[in-house]
Amino acid sequence: MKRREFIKKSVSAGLFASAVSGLALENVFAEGTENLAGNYDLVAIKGGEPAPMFDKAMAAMGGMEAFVKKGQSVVIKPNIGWDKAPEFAANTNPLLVKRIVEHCLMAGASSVYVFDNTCNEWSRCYSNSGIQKVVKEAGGKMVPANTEGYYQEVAVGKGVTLQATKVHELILESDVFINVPVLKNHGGAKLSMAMKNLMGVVWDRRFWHRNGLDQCIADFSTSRVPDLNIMDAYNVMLRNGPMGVSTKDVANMKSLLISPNMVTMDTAGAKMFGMEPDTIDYIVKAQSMGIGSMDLSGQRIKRLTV
Amino acid sequence: MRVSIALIIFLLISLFFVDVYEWLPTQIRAYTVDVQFIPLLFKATQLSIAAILLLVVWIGLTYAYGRVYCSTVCPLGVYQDVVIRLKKWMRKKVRFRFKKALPGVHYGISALVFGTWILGISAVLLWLDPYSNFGRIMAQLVKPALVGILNFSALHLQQADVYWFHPVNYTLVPPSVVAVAIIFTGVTLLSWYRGRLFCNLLCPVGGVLSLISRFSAQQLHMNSATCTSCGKCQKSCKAECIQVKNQHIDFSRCVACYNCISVCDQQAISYKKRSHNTSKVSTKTTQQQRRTVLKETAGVALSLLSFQAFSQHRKQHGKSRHASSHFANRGIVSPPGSRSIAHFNDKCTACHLCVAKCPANILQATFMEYGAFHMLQPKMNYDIGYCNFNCTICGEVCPTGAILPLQEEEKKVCQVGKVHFEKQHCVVETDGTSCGSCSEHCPTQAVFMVPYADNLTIPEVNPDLCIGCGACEHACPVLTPHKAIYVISNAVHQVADKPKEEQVELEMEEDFPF
Repeated sequence: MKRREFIKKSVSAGLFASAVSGLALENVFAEGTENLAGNYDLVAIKGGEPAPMFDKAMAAMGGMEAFVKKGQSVVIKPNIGWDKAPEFAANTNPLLVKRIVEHCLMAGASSVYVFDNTCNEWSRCYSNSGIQKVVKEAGGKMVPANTEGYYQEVAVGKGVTLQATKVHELILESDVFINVPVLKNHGGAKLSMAMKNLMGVVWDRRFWHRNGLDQCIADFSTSRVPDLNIMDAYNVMLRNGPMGVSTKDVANMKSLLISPNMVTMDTAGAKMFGMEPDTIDYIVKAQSMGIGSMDLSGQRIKRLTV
Repeated sequence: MRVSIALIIFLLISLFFVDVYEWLPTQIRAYTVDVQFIPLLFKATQLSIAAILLLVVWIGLTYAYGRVYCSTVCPLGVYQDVVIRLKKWMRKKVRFRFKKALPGVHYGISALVFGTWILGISAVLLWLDPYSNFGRIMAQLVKPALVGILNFSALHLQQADVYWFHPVNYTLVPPSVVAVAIIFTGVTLLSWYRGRLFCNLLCPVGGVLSLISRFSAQQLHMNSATCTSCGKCQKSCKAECIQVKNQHIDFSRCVACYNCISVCDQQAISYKKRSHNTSKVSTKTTQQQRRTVLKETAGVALSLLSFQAFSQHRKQHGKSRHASSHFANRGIVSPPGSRSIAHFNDKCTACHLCVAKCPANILQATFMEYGAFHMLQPKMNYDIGYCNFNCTICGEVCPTGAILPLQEEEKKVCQVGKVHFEKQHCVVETDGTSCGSCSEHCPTQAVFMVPYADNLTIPEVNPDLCIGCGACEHACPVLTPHKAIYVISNAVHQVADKPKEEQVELEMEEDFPF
């Protein structure tokens, strides 16, 4: 039953994604129509605090109502991987997560779930990241992901190496899936961004590391595709990632990216970090699998400053 | 009154051990674990004034009124009382009979326990200390059972979108669970059939207090004038130390539960000043004492023998730990704060409070890894998890000083072992794919990634920065032939270098780079 549901969802998500990219191609001629909110492939904003930046960027993206319909359930997947305080920027900024939960509830979401399959001991990650507190304040549900019982085996249809994996049930069952990574350095994958963040929705990460990390990251990006990606680049860990050693590894970039497409987002994220996207293997692999395009010049981008 | 104090201590100490959701503050330790006799003795030898004072209080109390400790403070004693209560509730006949005392055996065993302990062998003490046995029952049997029930309910409630409580991870290694289950069954059966026989035959604390209670100022006596020899007291005596026939109470075995006082309709049993009379009894005692001395000598001799065996064993053990850097000889890692394996082995009674409390679940009982004299003492088990960088709980809860408390900053440089990397087994080398799982989990970046062929990165290690937390080893995806990165034990803990901190520079353009 669950599997059928999932297949249905992934099919519709795929249709949705292709519809969006189709729209984007058709709308190239209409780039001048600034008053038309939405239909951007990427909204980038900088210069402000996390919540106000998100408000402005999301409005440009067409508002949360464009993604969350009344009565729908939403699952938000920030990076909560590490037992680190917010200023270390190892986890997604709690102020941003809080604002996203509020937007979803204002758009009429029936419930908003937040979780991550953490790397460090999970309850300490949830509390020390500051995310558990703000999610509860905002009216969302902080959901555990620490036992295998939450995960269900699904097929990764287009996967080259990763052909099946256990995925958290809320990712499979929720109507809307919002991916909220934080931009940061990563020793193994070079950068941790949207696609890398999805490692926190599966149970067995060790398989990915053992069998070709970049390919598995790209493979899983063909699975349950997030409906929206929001990348925190307010504080950015420039080295010693993904956990970081001290706050001195962190630069205050004061930026935020929103995109429905993970390849678009990760390409833009890499550029903001100062790296060439084609040196990051999983982005290249994901493009070749048709998940998105690394050519930003052909995409509708909205650039904002606060 | 006796029952309520006993139950309060018993419940508090039980809750402190199981505490599935980490609700209780570690300070509870002071009122439950820290008042236990054997941990106090360990602390006293480390010159803790508070421990010495409390020990004096327990000894003084016993000298005044007998073994009050055994029926109020000792959790294993109270557990046995609970078993006897249960038997009563299940409408089984609870009828004890007077049994001859075996002081020679009991004092002999106690002498062996303390004799071997003084010689640095914890093995005998570890198996017989009532508090440690109780702790192990809690950590290895009760907590996992409770966690199982709660996790089951949590997962089912969450199907109904109710997130009242969450599942917790609590893994244990089977050998220790089996060992503790056997002891648990033994103690339970013993108390079911023979009351407090454990306390009067095997328990070293019982042995010490029994010896003192022989000279207690106030002892329980039967008043021959009012006693009707109805035998109720004898049947209710779980220490099996009342002999109605002679109207005699063997106070050295009495655990001061006062059941006899409450069942006696004639109020014939009460505290009275200790009497020195009746030559018959005194000759008996001298005989007993003589026998005891003999047994004790035998005990000491035995323990000396074991000490020799032990030191030889340790020599071999210690050697193998340093010499080689191969995986099989990487050694066993003791928890941060335990200073050295030798210190830890000497001081740990394997009460498993740290096992129950470790949030990372990484402290796990060993079986024979530390050697036969240190069975069940915990080690850092990187198969299960890795040590939380910010966590200092094991040192905060350890009651015997085996794991000394560390400040968070001390803990973050406390090097219990050093990282060792075998490039030839790393997936980056063998498969030519990216990974970085070890470096990703390294809190000090003692493991860091450097450029490698084909646009890849491969780990490099700086053991001076390593604290031996085992995150790299646990995270390493390589399983055959073994982990490509692992921790080699420091037999004596060292201080790691602090990671260098230098502010990163951010070059950001005015415009977006796309």
